[in-house]
Amino acid sequence: MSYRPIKEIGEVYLTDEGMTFHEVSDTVCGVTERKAPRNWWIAFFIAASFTGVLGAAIGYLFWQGVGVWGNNAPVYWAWDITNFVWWIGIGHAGTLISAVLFIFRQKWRTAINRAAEAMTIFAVICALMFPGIHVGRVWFAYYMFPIPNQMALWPNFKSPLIWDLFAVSTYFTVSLLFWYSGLIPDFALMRDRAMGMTGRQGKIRRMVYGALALGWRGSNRHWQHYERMYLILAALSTPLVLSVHSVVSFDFATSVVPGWHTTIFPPYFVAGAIFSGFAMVMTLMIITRAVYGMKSIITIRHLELMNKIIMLTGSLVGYAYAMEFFIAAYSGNEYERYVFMNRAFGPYKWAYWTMITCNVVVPQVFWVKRMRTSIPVMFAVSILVNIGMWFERFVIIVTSLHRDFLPSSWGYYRPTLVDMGIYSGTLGFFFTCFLLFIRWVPMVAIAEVKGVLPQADPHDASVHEEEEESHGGHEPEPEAAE
Amino acid sequence: MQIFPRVLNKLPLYGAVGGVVALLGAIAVPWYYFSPKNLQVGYEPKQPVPYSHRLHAGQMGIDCRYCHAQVERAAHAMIPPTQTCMGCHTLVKADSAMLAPIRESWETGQPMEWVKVHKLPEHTYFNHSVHVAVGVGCATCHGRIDQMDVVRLDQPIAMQWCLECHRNATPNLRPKDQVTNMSYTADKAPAGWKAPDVHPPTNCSGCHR
Amino acid sequence: MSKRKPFPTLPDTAPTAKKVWKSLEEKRDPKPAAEAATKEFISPISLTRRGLLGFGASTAALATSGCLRRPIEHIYPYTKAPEYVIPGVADHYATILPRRGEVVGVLVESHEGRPTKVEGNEEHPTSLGSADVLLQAATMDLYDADRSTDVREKGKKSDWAAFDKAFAAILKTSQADGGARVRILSRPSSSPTFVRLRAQAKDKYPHARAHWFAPVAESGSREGSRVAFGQAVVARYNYAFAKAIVSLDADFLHGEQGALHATKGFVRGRRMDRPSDPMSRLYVAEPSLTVTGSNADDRIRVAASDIDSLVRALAAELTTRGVELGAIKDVVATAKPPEGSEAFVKAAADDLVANKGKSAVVAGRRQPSHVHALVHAINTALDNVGRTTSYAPVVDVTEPADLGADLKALADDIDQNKVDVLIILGGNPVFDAPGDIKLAEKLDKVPTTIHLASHFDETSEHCTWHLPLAHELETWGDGRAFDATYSIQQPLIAPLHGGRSAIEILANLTDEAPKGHDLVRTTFRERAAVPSRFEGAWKTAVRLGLDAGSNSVQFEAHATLDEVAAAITKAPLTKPITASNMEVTFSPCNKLHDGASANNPWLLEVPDPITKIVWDNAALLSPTTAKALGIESQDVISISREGSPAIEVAVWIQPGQADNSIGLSLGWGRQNVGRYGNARGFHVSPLRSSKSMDMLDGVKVSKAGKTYKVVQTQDHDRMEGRPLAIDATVDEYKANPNFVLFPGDRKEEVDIGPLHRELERPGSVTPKTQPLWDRVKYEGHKWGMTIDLNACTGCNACVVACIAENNIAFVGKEQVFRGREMHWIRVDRYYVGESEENPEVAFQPVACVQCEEAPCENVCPVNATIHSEEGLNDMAYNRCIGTRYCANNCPYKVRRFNFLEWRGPEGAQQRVQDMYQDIPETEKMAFNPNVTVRMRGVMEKCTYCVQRIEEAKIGARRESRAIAPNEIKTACQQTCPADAIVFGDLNNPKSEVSRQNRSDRGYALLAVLGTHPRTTHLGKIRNPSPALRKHAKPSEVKREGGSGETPK
Repeated sequence: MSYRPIKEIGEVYLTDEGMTFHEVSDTVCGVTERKAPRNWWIAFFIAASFTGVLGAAIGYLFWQGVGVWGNNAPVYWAWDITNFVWWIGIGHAGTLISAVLFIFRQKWRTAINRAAEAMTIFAVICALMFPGIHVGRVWFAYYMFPIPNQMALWPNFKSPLIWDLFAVSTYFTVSLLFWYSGLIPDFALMRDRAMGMTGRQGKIRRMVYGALALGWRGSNRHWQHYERMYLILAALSTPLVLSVHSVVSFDFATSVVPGWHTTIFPPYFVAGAIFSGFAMVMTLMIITRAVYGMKSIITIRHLELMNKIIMLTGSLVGYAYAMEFFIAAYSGNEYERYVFMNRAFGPYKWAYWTMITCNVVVPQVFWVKRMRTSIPVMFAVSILVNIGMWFERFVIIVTSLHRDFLPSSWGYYRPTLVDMGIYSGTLGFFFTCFLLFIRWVPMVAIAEVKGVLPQADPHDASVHEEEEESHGGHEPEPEAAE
Repeated sequence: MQIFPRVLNKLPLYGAVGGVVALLGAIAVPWYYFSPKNLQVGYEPKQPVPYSHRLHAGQMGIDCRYCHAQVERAAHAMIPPTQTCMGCHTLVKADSAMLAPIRESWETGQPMEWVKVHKLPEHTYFNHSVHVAVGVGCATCHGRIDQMDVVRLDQPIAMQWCLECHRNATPNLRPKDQVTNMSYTADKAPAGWKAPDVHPPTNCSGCHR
Repeated sequence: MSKRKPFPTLPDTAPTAKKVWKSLEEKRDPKPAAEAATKEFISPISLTRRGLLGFGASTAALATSGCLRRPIEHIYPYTKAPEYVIPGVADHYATILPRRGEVVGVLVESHEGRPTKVEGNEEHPTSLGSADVLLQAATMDLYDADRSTDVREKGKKSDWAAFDKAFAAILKTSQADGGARVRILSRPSSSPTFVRLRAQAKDKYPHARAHWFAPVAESGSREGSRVAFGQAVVARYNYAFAKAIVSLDADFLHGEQGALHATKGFVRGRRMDRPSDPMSRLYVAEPSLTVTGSNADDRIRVAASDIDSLVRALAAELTTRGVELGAIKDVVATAKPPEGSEAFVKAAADDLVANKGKSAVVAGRRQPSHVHALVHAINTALDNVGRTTSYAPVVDVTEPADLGADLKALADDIDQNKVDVLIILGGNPVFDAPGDIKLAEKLDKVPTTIHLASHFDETSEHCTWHLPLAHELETWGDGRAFDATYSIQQPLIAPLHGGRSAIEILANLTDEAPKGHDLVRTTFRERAAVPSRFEGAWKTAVRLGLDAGSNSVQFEAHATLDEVAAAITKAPLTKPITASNMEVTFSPCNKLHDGASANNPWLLEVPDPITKIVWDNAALLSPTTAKALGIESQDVISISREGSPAIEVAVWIQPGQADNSIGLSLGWGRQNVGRYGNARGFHVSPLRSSKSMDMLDGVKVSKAGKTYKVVQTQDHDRMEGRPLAIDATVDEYKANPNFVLFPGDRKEEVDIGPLHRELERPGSVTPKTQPLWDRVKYEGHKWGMTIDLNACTGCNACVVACIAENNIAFVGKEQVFRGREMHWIRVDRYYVGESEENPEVAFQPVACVQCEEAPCENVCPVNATIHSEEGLNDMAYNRCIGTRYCANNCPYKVRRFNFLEWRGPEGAQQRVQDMYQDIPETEKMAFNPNVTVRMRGVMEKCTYCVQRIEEAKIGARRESRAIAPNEIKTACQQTCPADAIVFGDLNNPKSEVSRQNRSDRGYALLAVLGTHPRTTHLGKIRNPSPALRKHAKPSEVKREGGSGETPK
């Protein structure tokens, strides 16, 4: 038994041992350099056509008016805001994984943060669509911005919708910067790899990646500035992770509608957001690592850690559900009480119990390690969780509205084809963007992954001492599922 | 190996500055360009009959209310019916070529096609009578009509402009008997006259119903 | 609109004149609009009718505004200005609108010769300043785009000249035999001129015969009065003085003659300003839940056919209590009340006797003559005559007793080929006639048939000549109100489609010139006492809309008991209604009445007061019967009876419906009336029989195996124990004057600053902790409203009044199903009490309550809805971008959103499928120019009729005076027959509203939310008979409900 250097407490290699810097670069960059696999084209075609549906649906919506949706009185908000909140939620994991885990020095983030951030960007774009298109007179939506005008009128800064607007757009801006700055060294790497290439392709890659790399040379100076900026951005976006969804929850919490009007919303929404965000990351990572053979970089260990978080946040959300009931009962407010009984046993109970099953019951399987580490299981769970979280928003919005104070004005909401078209359309748009992303952008933070390789550890002699062993030796962790 | 020429190093800087400038421009240009000040003031369309307020109101000193008879009673000051013109012009200049359209309208009963100069959006309800009643002078909003051969839009009819007065009306008020006096100025106010306190509406329903 | 010709006696309404002013036609005139679209930056609201432009507006503007500074807009002044028309200031003219056999006096608002709004005529005893649903919707009838526009011969376009020629020829030939082969079919008319002319025609054509037919008639009551008094009279009840009222299948608050007058009186008899006030008690026995029934203190469900036995039993009970009914005593001695009604009859009898001379017994028009006769006898015996009842002579004494039989006679004449010329003046007999008559094929046999009708309808199709009938607002006429007030009908606008009135056609059969104006004057001259004063009297009558004092012909008649007794003995009791012997009843629709206005979208969309169904009628069944037959709501059933064809109708299960009795409403199922009315609801007339028009027993019911979607505006009927429409019995009110309060309520004057004491509103727990910030103090005006649930009868007149006043769009059945109706005020109808079969009803009108702490305001991102300094919750349509957050946050759900362009080409298809592309020109004329027409994507709501408030303020300012205490009336308040709604300045101690606002019955809806509504509801008081005390009171409102809450 030969000598091994001490690693940080409890820490093990985050990649298969024996990966070299070069292998990392190759695995990741290769994806963008090789021809796209056939499956990519199929997926892209499907996603793109759904994006087409989105365009058509929105056009029709603008032409006819919001009436083409199922929204009615009293359910003035329905799928539109449901989708908005759902997408924002998904858009959470990215920044959480990148910024928060970065600040907590959770090195295991490195393998997944890039894709997660990309996902954030695209999800937030999808989300931002809805406040825009859900208004009755789109062409006057600019009234919401504080622009000087001839009417001497300003937006109503008391309105949660305005807070929302600012919160989400800020979040989007910061996330974008954060994502891009992280990309710079990798773009530079791509550029340099393109140096060798010949022909038009090489030229274009040189130009494009060159431009994107903003003249990165990897000098110590660059690295020093880079690290500092990255840290600052991380520090900036950490509070945002909490603020965005808290503010989104204000849209409901500040109203008088029973079922909306509760103080538990901000933490509850944030937990839910992280929950759904991780689930979505999960879904995407499982696919990509399978398709692009990144098993050695995105290891089962990463996935397991994420599953733990999913289980945790899932339980948090479950706690929130229970708490809502308790508060309603405890308040003695008959309207509150009615709304929650109505949720569980009223006309929309199907939605409610779907939500409970997917969000609270299902994630509990992760108590078992075999489940936590089984790819099919975690894939199924991640899908279910996303469904469940969509239903959570639906339940909160629709069941609260459809029966509020005056029974004379109670109603029932039924979606229309346009509703569905727009929702599936945003999904299509999201995946289109994501597919383009994995096709042309390094989907793993190469520089950072290299940073956690043993070779990057100046004290790690093993790479020098036991080269042949590390080459020949260590078989990868067993992956029963594959 | 150099991909890009050195000069491009400044590109990000230029880009940033340019972006900011463009944004501000995008706000400022429409703000000015679509302002009634720019779009409306000075509007001076050709009327079917070259009726001259300078001549009638100015030189002859006919009172505004002779033609705009309802200004004290109704929301609309009323463009006078052909009748009113014919009242004089059956005797005066009875056969002037310029007045042919008037005579024709009188005979055929077809209304005159005057071109609208002072236009409000349809969702805005303006009432002449109340403004006259509290002593807002004609000239305050319409300018020195008595000096115009062709009626010209004198003030930008925009919400902000209305509000300026509605928030502080006093400077624009005058004794009621001076309302139609075109040449009135604050210093001509009779001694001891004090502008009444007419807190005009500044809430939405004051003008939008 | 080019069709509009100046009317001699009216302001010059040159079509273009309106363009001068800010009128909606201007906005809607396509030409400038098109220019605007392509040329200039235009304001949102001006785009109302073009959702598409809305979409493109900003881009169009950016793209092209450079080319042209502004679109050319023209001003078209009058050429000769009518001196009494001030452009932009509305005129009001008094006139009348006919209702079956009566007329109602109204005041019509006219903008530059364009009638826009109907109000009640305060001078007129029939309306006393109020108007009902039909009257409020009359302008829409006038502007109905599907009204017949030209004369047709055999369906082909013709013109009046051609008709006049042909008509003259026809009359000439038929003069030879004294018109033996001429028949005139008309609706029962109360117009002295019409009757006079028909008499003259009779002189000229002695052998011509007149016939009468109407789907809804007063035959029973007329004949009954003939039996009782020896002459046909109209009974007039003074409910204000009646302490005990027994209504036997009589919907006197809504469906019967003189309903407006009755409502006013009824409500006055029940006003409770303080617990000590006396209150009348209303007993109702009826088959279907009616407006009257829902206001009853004690109500039982009795099949229409069983009312007969019930009233006999009542008479018997009375005689046992020493009421002198002479010969009748023996006749009814053995009478048994229908089972279940014994207690009711006893209690009613007790009360009647206890209130001798202060009571009233009323029978419904549906009931047979002997029931009416008996009721007259009872009123005589209780010596109510001259106190609570008086009688007025009818105008048309020649009208036969049984219209069904009369029409049958005509049909037989046709079969025996005795008829060459049939002149049908108004009405739509082919559609309305009982099935057994088969009028359509009869008409085809007549060589010449002439039909005067507003639409080219089912009857016109079978007639040689179709003549467009002018609307009552277009022509001269007259009529006698139910209380014999002689009233004059003056036109407000020239016939839009060149139609003529019935009297103008009829005049052709006389020697008089067919000029409506002259004909009416002639009639009036004959009545005028002193010829020299004629002109003056005429002018006054036209101005007032009535001949003052003409109702003095009322008299006190005492029923001759023997006659009545004889009549009853002659009339055998019908077989009682049981599961084996089911009955159908036919009643005029609560909204469409007899269907003359079947193409009126306002009426089609306003919910039925009771069922809350829109755009359809349905067969009403009681829950028990439905269960027994295994039928669900919305199933289609087929109803048949030997002798008449079966009909198919969708079922609606209706609490309060008598078992084994099926309620059908007339006026629906038109096939040929127009874009809105066609194929709406179900046509039930074929089931009727000329023998018995209004109720039939022995019908068979079977499932048709189909279902039909029936849409309601309110599909949840219970209050879920929430303190919403709060009610109490008189005793409870006496015991606890503040019964509207809940545990923990405060109700005292609280000081919110110098000069500002305000009533802490109870109604449920008022917030125990006041807001952290100071309440706003309202100097100057402080607009507020009170709605008295005790007065409200739920008739829905306010809803239509609001539609007419505020240019509210209708959206069609499909959109109402989606919950998108636009009504700013709605009348919530709750069922109270445990009984599913016969619940009590509570009506609660709800419009925007103008919260002082409005939840809608602080959530609007663009400040489109803000508080005014007078406490109005202003809504700036042109600022609204339609996030709909305000509506979500409105606890009263009174905000309405334009989900689509209800009035535009796109919206049109959405709104009422495949009906039309764009809103018709004539419909645009109905708009109120003082209210913006909202485009799609905009939120809207009740504003307390802010346009009226501003008008009053401007007027006061102009005349430098203060606004009078009760000067301003909102549209709903002005029309409310029950005076349930009061609006005014809460800061003005003299105003009625500030008085009502302090009533001990006053409470704020959902006060627990701390919204501080400006609208206060006054709790409902019931006065049930102690004998029948079945009340599980307090209704179903849990007192502990809502307690223990603190504001959030």
